[in-house]
Amino acid sequence: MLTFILRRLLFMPLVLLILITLSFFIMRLAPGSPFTTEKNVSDEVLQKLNEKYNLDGSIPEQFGEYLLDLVQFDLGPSTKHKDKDVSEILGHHFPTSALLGASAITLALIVGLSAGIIAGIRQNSLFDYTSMAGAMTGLSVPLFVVGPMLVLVFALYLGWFDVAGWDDWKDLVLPAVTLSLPFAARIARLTRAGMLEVIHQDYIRVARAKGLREQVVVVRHALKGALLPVVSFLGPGVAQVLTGSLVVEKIFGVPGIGREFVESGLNRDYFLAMGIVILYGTLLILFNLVVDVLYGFLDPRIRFE
Amino acid sequence: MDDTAENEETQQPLKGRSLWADAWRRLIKNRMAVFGMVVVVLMSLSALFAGVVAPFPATYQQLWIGPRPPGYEHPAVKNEMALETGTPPEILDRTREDGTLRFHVFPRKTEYFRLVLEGMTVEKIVRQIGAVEVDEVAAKGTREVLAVIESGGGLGAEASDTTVRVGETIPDVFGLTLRGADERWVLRLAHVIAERDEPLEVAAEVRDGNVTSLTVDGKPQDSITLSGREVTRFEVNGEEQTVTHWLGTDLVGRDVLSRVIFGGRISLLVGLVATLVSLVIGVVYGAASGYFGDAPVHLVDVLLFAAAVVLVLLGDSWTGSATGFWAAVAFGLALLVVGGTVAARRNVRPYHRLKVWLGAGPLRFLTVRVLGADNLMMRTVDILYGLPYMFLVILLLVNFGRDIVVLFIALGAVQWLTMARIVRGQVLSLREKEFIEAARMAGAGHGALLFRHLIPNTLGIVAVYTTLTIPAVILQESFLAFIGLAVQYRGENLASWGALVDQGRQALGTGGARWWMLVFPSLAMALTLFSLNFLGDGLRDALDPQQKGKT
Repeated sequence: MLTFILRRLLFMPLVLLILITLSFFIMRLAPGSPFTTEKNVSDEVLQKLNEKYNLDGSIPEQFGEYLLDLVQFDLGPSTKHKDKDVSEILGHHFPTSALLGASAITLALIVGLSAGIIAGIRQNSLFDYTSMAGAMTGLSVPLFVVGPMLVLVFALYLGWFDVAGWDDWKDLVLPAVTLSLPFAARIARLTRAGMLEVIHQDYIRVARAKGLREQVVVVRHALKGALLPVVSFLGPGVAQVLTGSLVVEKIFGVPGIGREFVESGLNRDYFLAMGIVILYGTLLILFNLVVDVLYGFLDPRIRFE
Repeated sequence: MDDTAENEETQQPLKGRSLWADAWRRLIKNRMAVFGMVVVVLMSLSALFAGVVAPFPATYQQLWIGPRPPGYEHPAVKNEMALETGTPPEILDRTREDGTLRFHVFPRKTEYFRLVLEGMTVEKIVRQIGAVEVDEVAAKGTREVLAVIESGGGLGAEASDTTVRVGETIPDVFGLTLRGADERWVLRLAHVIAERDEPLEVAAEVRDGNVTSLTVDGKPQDSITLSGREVTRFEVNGEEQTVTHWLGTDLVGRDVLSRVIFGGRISLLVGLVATLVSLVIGVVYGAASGYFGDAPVHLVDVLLFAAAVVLVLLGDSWTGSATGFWAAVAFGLALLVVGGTVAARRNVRPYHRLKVWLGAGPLRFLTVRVLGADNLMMRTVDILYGLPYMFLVILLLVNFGRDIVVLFIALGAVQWLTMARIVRGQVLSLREKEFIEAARMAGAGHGALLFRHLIPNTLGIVAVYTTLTIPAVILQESFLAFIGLAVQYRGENLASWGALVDQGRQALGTGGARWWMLVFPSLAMALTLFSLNFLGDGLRDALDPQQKGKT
């Protein structure tokens, strides 16, 4: 198990390096610079600005310097938000995004798993049909349609929540629900399929024959096998939540990182955009690692591959 | 659940049926899949013939109409119409027939005011010409008052029989959503006053497509220019001519139905082309990996490849141009493919000889086998899979422009990974089959085996995955459009469904008063995605019944 985790850990920096390289060169090889938007910048001032932000060397030189800074956990300055470090900006906005993402994932797991298990046990029941139709809808209707629709109904017509903003716990409800929907839909479908596959296996029959209570059979025996596809979906699922947060933060005016990202790209705020990509990339890679380890626990065959 | 279907099949008299005919039979039994297919076909047709189906051109603005609810009817007139004796009348094309044209016209004059709002309270009203401050603007008795938020951009509203007073809250009829009570807003108020109580009657005789006589209030005249907003009634031969906006109009008076139809054209096109891109890359890559997979990759191959990439990146940084970047990407991909093939076909003479020569000399370590080609190619896919891809796509789009071609490539590049994995898996199992052995015995080369025998046999699963990729791509494009990165063609923004949903969301107004701009594009999109997903699921069940029920 340990070698398995170690092997995966060794994989991480490689993926991160590729991500950094790709995003660095995408940004730097494009025409324009962080200072092209500011009018009346003389060549001298531009020279000074470039020197200040370390943008005056050749691109490979800059890349090397950037990597060196990164190794020392220095994400560089922001060229747009003057006198602020990228780390400060991330530290300021990330807790918001993290709270939103974590609540969405938790919500999706609770709703998706329970709906999937019940639908799987009571196959072809009314609950099965309605929840699976709901899941299909959740998969087909995009976040940015669901979000405004929820606003229309729950904020504008019913007035239960604010249209947008980020002041108290109530403001978390609509964004988190929106963000969790497609995720919950996928989990429900996967869990149901997993349950259906497992429930007819011999070992379940044995468990029942031993006289175990149905709850024990489902939770202790069936669920463990049924969870495999769900666990393997968690990796891409988290990626979905991360990208989805870009939209949700925009719809509900949540002051998170997602909103900063598109803007930083458009402003050519090199370091900020890179910082966000690195942050999200690291999160994703870490999560994939957790998923792999979890998978290794649930299915010992994987470890000896 | 479907045991009966299987029994039926075995009871059929023995008759040759191809895999595809068989799958088709199963597919049309699946109601949801058939429903999906019908919707997809209808949507594609309407997108293809958008110019014919849509009642208006997508970008045709009728500012004087402004936002109107579904079913809004108005005289079938254009923004500006010139009537002149001896020339054809410039009215909507479909009413260009011979007969008597009659118009009721209310000439109007417009006064502009500037309202300064503190929260929802009117703080100041300034007459724009002359900059005189006034206490109130009485819209009572006038036809309309048009408010346009200047600082918020492009929000229009219309109201009649209302009065705006200093110190009072702005009347609700304007349907403004102002967030934050302490915010300051500046509104531009167009106060439109009808100049007369009775309409001006304009009549024109049209013969052979030309105006032969023209009268204004009974007096003959040579020419007149009518403004669409002033015409309240338009008849041809006594019959009133109106147009209906079945799904309403948007803030600048564009027909929502037409915009949804044209938006579908863009969304479906992006979905289709980007999927094709991913299809080509994925199938070639996956098949190569599965087929040439056991070929060894030597240290020298890796080093050469790395050197080439570094060289390209360095070389490009000197020119620093966008074309250089794409050239680098293309070159890199080409190298990857060529490298894989070269490594696999060890009988490629010069390269092979180089390796043999190296293996005999002191640089022997260069020919150490690093790993299998399949391993290398699939680990590459694994790594790419672990990247937050949408973020890279966003970076690509904001930096290199949102031209439709860039988008095709970017989205195609996201999707090919899964396709490659699936095709590789299929090829791996297929290449051990007897028919491949037989083909090889018959003297088929690598190319023939791959393209004549292996790839065609993966088409079933590829077709399934393709149908499921299209909605995914449509979703991604709309996602990008929604966060403000709408596709462009030659610098013009294209209004795909995602962009329409975004516009609709911004235009909602108080209590969701203008819901139609959000609801209809959303519905069109959700319905299409729904249908494509069902069709894809149905196709999978039909082509691979064993997989039925699994996701």
